[in-house]
Formats: sequence, structure tokens, C-alpha cells
Amino acid sequence: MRRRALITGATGGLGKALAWEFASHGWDLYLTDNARGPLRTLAAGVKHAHAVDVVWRAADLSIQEDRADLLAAVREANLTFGALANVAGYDLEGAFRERDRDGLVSLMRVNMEAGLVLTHALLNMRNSWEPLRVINIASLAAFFPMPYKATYAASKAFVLSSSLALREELRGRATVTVLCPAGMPTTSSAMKGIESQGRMGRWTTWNASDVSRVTYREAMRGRPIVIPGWINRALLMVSQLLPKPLLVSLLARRWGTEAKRERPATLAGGQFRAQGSPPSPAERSA
Amino acid sequence: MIREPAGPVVLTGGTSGIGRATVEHLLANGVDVIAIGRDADRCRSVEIELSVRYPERKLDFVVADLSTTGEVRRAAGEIARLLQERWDHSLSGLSGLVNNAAMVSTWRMVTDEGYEKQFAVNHLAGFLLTRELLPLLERGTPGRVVTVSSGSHRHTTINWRDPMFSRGYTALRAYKQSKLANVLFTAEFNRRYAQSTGVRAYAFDPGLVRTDIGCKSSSGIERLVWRLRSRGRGASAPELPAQHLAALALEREMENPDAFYRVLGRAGMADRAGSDPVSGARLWALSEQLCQEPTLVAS
Repeated sequence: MRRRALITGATGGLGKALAWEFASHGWDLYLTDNARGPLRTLAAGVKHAHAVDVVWRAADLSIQEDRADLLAAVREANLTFGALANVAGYDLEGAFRERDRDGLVSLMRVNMEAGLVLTHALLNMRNSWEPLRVINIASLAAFFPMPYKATYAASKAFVLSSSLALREELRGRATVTVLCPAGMPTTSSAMKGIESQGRMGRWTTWNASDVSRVTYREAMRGRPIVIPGWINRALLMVSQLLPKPLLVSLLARRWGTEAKRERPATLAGGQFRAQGSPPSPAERSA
Repeated sequence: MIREPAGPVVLTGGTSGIGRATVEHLLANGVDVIAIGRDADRCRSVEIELSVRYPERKLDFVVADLSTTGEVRRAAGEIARLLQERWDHSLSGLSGLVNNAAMVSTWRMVTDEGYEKQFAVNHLAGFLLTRELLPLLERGTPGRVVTVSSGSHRHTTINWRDPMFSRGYTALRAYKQSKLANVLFTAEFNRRYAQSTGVRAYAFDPGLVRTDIGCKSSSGIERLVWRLRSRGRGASAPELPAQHLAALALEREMENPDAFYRVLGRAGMADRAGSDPVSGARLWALSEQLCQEPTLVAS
């Protein structure tokens, strides 16, 4: 029986890697992101390498009409799905007051709403013989309130919280696995950010393909949380022993100087943008 | 020693390192060049600099990022168009193609198609560009295809189960694989086309050269090792290999033309794995599959 996975944010670093991971296990794909060109190119590459069926459609998930059109197209195509990977998500660098209001709202639409809406819709289009495998992308930032990344970190906390809750609620119909990665070297600015942290950056960083492989495996087992790398898990455990206000003030000091230096940071996918610059299509998928 | 060229030589990666030096050698030897570079500004500055120095020669740059098959095809189209517009005698083809562009990356990067970037840039781009330009190469004298490989093609294999190294990626393993692919491609090209088209392919080993390839997108240990090695004794300036590379792209009368692996100016021995016909055919089939024209429709 052939199975199909819907992947949002498919042309970003992690999206591409997940698309390839699913295809390498013989899954057909439905890919979406907000630009047509890169989608077409990726679809061709995956198809040629793995001989699976690939359908794609461009949609800007921050726009409600686009989301509705996407869902209508999926429904019309009369497909059923075995998996959904909500990869689309991004961050805007910079202090709260420097951001424009529409940008903040768009970010929440993509990072929080889109995943929920798609999960809700695809539960009605899932394969009858197996639970729908839902993969949501949070971030290590989901565990901390983060000054200078307040909206992004909170949106990822929303993803983490809702994923864990829905996992219980949907038992039998779906499994929900939430990925909390550290930075991934998917763009040259991301790599520079990792390098700027020296050895620590290299130790905590995984290639997107390795993150995807682990994520796929854990999702198929129905595991709740994936945090790639034992160093990342250890750092997370230690940091959770600290009182939250202290932790947040430490983070503020770190990200505050970071933001002033306008140096790219590396805690989570999608937050490598220089201050104030609008998201490019590729970067919008974390 | 150097033949009368019938048309320009195409060279990829023409803005730095061995590529740039080779462009200069070709121009100095009276040969026109169409070079491909990724960065428009760098292309323009090299074009201006060398055009001033060799005003009697034609030098054109095509700006293209050869990491995706679509861009390689577009670049090939640009070259065909340039050839018609700027070299008007209608029978003229290309007298050579130098597949020189290559990269190294510490982290596993993928192209827009999702292909591992070293495999895509160092091997697939040359494979596809050669195929696309073959009719033009056939018309020029006939032409040469020279692919810059490296001694690092030795003691390695093609990772057939996972040629994109989605697991176990290291910069060196992926680099060595891509350089072995260059040798396999060259040998297989000759098996398939040398007789029928007269176009011959060579794999060129530049020795250890002082360029930045290992520093551009790598870091830490790799960069350090690369720096030490390429600054140490035995490393040459890019001019030395460039001179031999330019000659190889042009030379007609050479000692032992069947020896497809050349170390600087001499015939060398490729690793056994590099001339194995079974692997050659297998790599060719894989590359063809990965370079298919997209036939997809959006939903």
C-alpha cells in the first residue's frame, strides 16, 4: 500500500531533508512552501532520485485564503495521507519594538495556526489502516522564554505544548511527535553562526539529514519528543534546574549582546536572519 | 605543441584559484574563453581585468550556480547563444570544456533539488554540462573535455547505497567520492563517445595547490589542515597546474593520448576503482537519472 506525506516548508533546509527521508522510505509526497520555483526544482530532484510520486503546490501559510486553497486542492486531489510534517516556520530577528505589527501576526499565523489547521484537516484524510504520523517542528527555544526572540520562542512553546496534548487526545487516530532541534547548518549564515560559537557550536549541531532520519524513525515509533544530540538534552536538563527568572535574565544577556552585534545566532532553525530583514522564501521554512 | 583552436574553450569556476589562472593561460595562448562563475560581481571584475590585458581575445562570463541541473542547462543554452552571436562563423564549435568548478563543505549542504552539494557541484554539473555541450564540442576540431579531479580520488569508493551521504557525511568522504566520480565519468565518457565523436576526455590531477577551496565553506579542523597543507612545502601556486590544464585542453599531439589521467603535464595512473567499467556504467546511469528533465505538473 503506498503512503503519502504532506510536508510544509518543504524547500527549506529541514523540509528538504525530511522530504528526502520520507522518499527514501518509499513514501509519495505532497510538498508545499510559498514559492513555486524551488518547489518545482525539489519535486523533480526527489522524484528522480527515489522514483516516488510527488505533488506540490505553493501556498503562503500566513494567508488564510492560501491555506483554504491548499486544503481545497488537497481534498480535490482525493488523496489520503499517512503523515504530516509541519515544517513551515520562521523567526524575525530584532527587539520587540523594532518589529512591525503585521510581521508579528504573520509569524504567529505560520508558526502556530498553520500546523493546527492542517493537522485538523488531514485527520479526515488519513489512511484508514494506520494512525496519521504528525511531525511538528518546535525548537530548543520552545523550553525557554527568550528575550529578543519572545514571539518566536513563545510560538514554539505553543507547538510543543499543543503537540504533547494532542498526542494523548488523538491516540489511535494519530501520533504526534514534536522535534526540538538546535541550529542546523542549512544556510551559509547559519554555518557562520555555528562557527562563531566554536567547539560548542560544532558539538551541538547536527546535519539536517541526520535530524530528519532520527525524526522519521521516532515519529514512526510514535514517540513524543525528539531532541537530537545528548549534549543538547543534557544542556536542556541542566538549564531546567535553574529558576526561570534567572535563566531568562542569563538568556537576555546572551541574546541581547548577540542582537547588538547583529551576529547570527544558532539555537534553533530559522532564527539566523540579520536584524530587520524580511524572510526570504527559503528561510521561511525553519 | 598547441593546436589552432577552432572555437572558444568553456571553463567552469573561472573566477578564482586554478580556474582563473587557466583562463588567463588560455587567453595568453591565443584562445577565446567562455567562463562560468557563480558570483556576478566577481565574474565582472575578472572579465574586465583580463579583457584589458588581452584585448585581442574574446572573453565572456556566464553567471550560473551550477549546483542545480536547471542552472546547468540554462548555462549550456547561454553558451550556445553566445557562440552564435560572438563567434559568427557558423561551423565553429567549442574547442574544449574544462570542468573545474568544485567545492568542499564541512557541513552537509544540499542543493535546491535536495542533492548533496559536493556530489552535485563537483560531479553532476560537469556530467550534465558535458552532455549538453557535446554537439558543440564535436563540431570544434573536435574538442576536449577536461575534468579537474584530484589525487584524493584514491582509496575510496562510491557510496552506492547512499551516494548523497544522508548518513555518515564527512567533508572528506564526500569530497573523495566526488573526485572518484570525476575519474569514473572521464573513463566512461571515453568508452561511450571517444570513438564515435572524436571528443576525448581527460581527468586532470593538479597536485597540491595553494587555493582557498578548502576554506570557503569549511571550518575548524578541515580548514586548519587545508591551510597547513596548502601553505606547506610541495604546494604550488595555481599558475603551475593552470599552465598544464590549459595545455591539456588544447593539445592535439601528445605522448600517449590514451592515458586519460594526467598529473600536471604527464600521463599518470588513475586508481583502479576509477577505471572500472562496471562502476563507470553504474555512475553514468545514476547521473542520467538524477539529471532528467523535470516533467512535473503542480497540483
